[in-house]
Amino acid sequence: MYNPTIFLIEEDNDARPILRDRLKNAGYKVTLALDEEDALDRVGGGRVKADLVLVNLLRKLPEDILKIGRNICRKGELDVPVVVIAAKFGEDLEGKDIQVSDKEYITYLEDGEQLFGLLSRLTRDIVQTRL
Amino acid sequence: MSEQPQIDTRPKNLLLAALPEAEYRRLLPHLKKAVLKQGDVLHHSDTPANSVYFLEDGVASLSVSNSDGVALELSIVGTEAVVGERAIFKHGYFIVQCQMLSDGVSYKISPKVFQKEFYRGDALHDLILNHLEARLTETAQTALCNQTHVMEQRLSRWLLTFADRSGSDRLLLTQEFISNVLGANRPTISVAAKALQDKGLIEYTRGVILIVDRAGLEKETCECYRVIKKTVETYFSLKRRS
Repeated sequence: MYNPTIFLIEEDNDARPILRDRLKNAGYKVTLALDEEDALDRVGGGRVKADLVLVNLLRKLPEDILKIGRNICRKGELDVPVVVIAAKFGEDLEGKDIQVSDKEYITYLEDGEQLFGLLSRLTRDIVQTRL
Repeated sequence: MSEQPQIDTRPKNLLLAALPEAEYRRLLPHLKKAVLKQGDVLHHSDTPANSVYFLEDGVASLSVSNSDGVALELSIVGTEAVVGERAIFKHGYFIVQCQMLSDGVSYKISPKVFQKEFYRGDALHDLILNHLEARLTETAQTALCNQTHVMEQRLSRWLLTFADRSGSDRLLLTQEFISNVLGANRPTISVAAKALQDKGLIEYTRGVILIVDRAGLEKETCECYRVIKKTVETYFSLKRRS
């Protein structure tokens, strides 16, 4: 059984331990960064091996977080899906996962199940390829 | 919010119901019934109370916020108490906002009448002082909780307290609404609620949270829930007049 690795960049001190534990309980390996700066430090020289990058940064627009996710992937030479968790949005977006490009997604969470459903779909192919 | 003129002679509000008959009769001509909607602001943070509310049904939240719009809840109020007690102060600097967390029904009274009744020094006076002490304790405990306990515990405490005050384990709340009330990042609430759901303590479907294992949720939460519950039970152990 292959357990995909998620590189989690989670700025919120409240959410970080819960999300890490939930991801581990769901069968993922987790590499953690505290914020953008910490993430860029960690990925340098290809030191982080991940199957998916998950980013939640406070007080930033989803599009700006996506750019940060791209930079992190570029520096870390990671050609993997990037998922951005939007923090503030209107009712019209609630519950939607929007694919922005080939491997980039913004999720507008209605609840936590939605996030784990998206992660499962995005890593399913990786798991099957590795089996 | 809308008003209806009729007055129920047996109020569900515990504070009104605990008043001696004579005092209640004195207030009765001044009470107006108001129908409230979730999200209605009963008192704004920078203004004196324009009415004092005795909730008959529903739950309200007392909160403070900063200039960036970040809000923090201090207390949840239900039918056990009153909102707008700031009316007893002749001068004040008001920072607390009161907003309905659910639909509800309330009796409301003018601040001047409420103030006059308070300063008579009869039963209402003592009940309001008890109320203020309970509110102070709850606010202090909530501040401690926010500083020292993890989000899963805080969310558990809040859900249990809300359920206690509303008298139901079925809570009509979106995660967006909860994040605003708790001053938390919205995804944080989603993740914390999922953790409680994975443990079989709550169920969440769009806009409805159901507490399915109350005993388990009480174990999950911190001691703050029990302190706040005991405070309310102690100070609001009101007896209906015969």
